[in-house]
Amino acid sequence: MSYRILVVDDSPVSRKMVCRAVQMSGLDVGEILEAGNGREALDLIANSWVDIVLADINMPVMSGAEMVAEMAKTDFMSVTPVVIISSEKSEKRQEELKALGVSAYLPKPFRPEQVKQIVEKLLREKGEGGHG
Amino acid sequence: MADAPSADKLTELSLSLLADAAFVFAERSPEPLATNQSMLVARLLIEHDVKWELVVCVELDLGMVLAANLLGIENDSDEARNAAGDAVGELANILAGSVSIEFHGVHTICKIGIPTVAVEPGQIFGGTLAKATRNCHFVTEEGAHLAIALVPRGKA
Repeated sequence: MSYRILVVDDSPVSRKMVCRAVQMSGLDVGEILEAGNGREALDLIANSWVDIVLADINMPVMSGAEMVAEMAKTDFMSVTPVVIISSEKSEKRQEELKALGVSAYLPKPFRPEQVKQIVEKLLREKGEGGHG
Repeated sequence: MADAPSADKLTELSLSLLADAAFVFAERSPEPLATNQSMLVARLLIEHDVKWELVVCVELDLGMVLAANLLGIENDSDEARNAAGDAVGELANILAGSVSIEFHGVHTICKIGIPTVAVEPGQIFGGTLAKATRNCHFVTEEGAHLAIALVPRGKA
């Protein structure tokens, strides 16, 4: 069984850093999908199953906060954990997003082991083996 | 209106970010950044009641080192060269998150803009640094230079 992970960030460097952290984690990663903004991410998940979403906030076209607000209108986050990985460190922002259904918030800069711990925990809690 | 973080605080935030995220170790430089060469410059706005522009000016080779360290690739690779601008922009983005907390605390949401990155001649970035309220110049262990500045940009 292997996981399908969606990484959402307008910065290609940041996406690569997150992808690298996920790949180094030892998790059984089947596929990593990438999106450059919230709109691309929503379009992608409308057509593809993912096991977890790792998303930035500050992005053009549609921000991570706007993306989460759209997801909150559906039951997406009751099924699929969404983790925000962002430079924003405002506690108010974190509270707002968690109230909408975000599962975890990891401030940048992050250590790869932090990504591993959060992703492992959430996938374990989700109780599924992924898209195998 | 919130005051800009002190130069010491901006220095502390910048140096710890460089070390923690990019494994680049630097210290305050006694000399200002030279303006006789072009630099890789990332700019973004931090907005709440007023707008501040965070400006990160980096020597081109240092930009490649930053990209290489962030991505775990060779310094002198084409991939590092191509990613240098984005790496400097991303570091500016991360620094902006910390700086916005210094401005307004953890209970306020500031708008952090999308960074723009360009190779700028000294005339351009030098003019910006001259207008900065906070202007910190650094030199790395390897002798590369960079500057980080906060420039007031009026009311939001």
